[in-house]
Amino acid sequence: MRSGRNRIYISFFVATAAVFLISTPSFAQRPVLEGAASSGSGSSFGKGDGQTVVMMSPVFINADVIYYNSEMPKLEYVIGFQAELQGRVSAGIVPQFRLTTGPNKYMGYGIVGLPLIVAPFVLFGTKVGGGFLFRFHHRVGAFAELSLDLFFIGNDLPDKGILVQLDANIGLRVTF
Amino acid sequence: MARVVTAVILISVGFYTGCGGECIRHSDCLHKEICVAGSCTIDIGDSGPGNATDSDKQNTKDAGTATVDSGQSNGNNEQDSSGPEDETDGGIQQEFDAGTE
Repeated sequence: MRSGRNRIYISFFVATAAVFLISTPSFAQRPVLEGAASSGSGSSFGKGDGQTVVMMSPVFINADVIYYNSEMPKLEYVIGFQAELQGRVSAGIVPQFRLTTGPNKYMGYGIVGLPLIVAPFVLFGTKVGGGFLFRFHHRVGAFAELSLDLFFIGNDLPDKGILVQLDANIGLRVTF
Repeated sequence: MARVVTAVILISVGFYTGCGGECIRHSDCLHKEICVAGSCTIDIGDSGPGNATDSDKQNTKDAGTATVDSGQSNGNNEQDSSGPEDETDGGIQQEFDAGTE
């Protein structure tokens, strides 16, 4: 008897959660999925023997999956995949949030992310930056970004080393 | 505007700054090198019987095959020092000399 009541409570809870989490948003929100591909490089800064070492950042390519919904079009959720291709080949993932000026023809945005290079070595840090998107077609746009990455954890860094990267990248963005 | 110009200059400096043995990350260095204080250095901790560093190899070569060095170029020192041919280099050279005479 008691287990039957519990089963009802559980069923109610699951059904309620399903309504709030799945059904209701589907009426109010229109999800938008976009993709972007870009390439870039920049400057890397690190600690040397009593001085700052400045080097060219490895050329990299990015592939981003961007999601936002019509209720909050100024907040984008992005999963970025990054590969360094110069001097070494590495692969990483960069989850990030973007605050935008809205899905217009001209759009500016700010970036906050957590880059994590996973192979063949490990680097983890933070990322802040900004970009500008120009949609020259209702589904296609070109963009340029400037970002500052700070890596402070990883086996690719010297002892107590910090890597700062000031990079720029340009690319295309497509609305699916 | 000044910030944009500064950013462009910094990025340009990065593009035109060569390596020259400088490094920030270990992956900036060659194989078996690590980045220490902004310079690539040979990883001493990696040396062993089958994995000698370049300086170790040179020392081994100089000590063990001095007579061969005098008659050969140094271009293949590293290759000779790591293999079993080390001890027989002199013999091979003598056989070769005898054959050619």
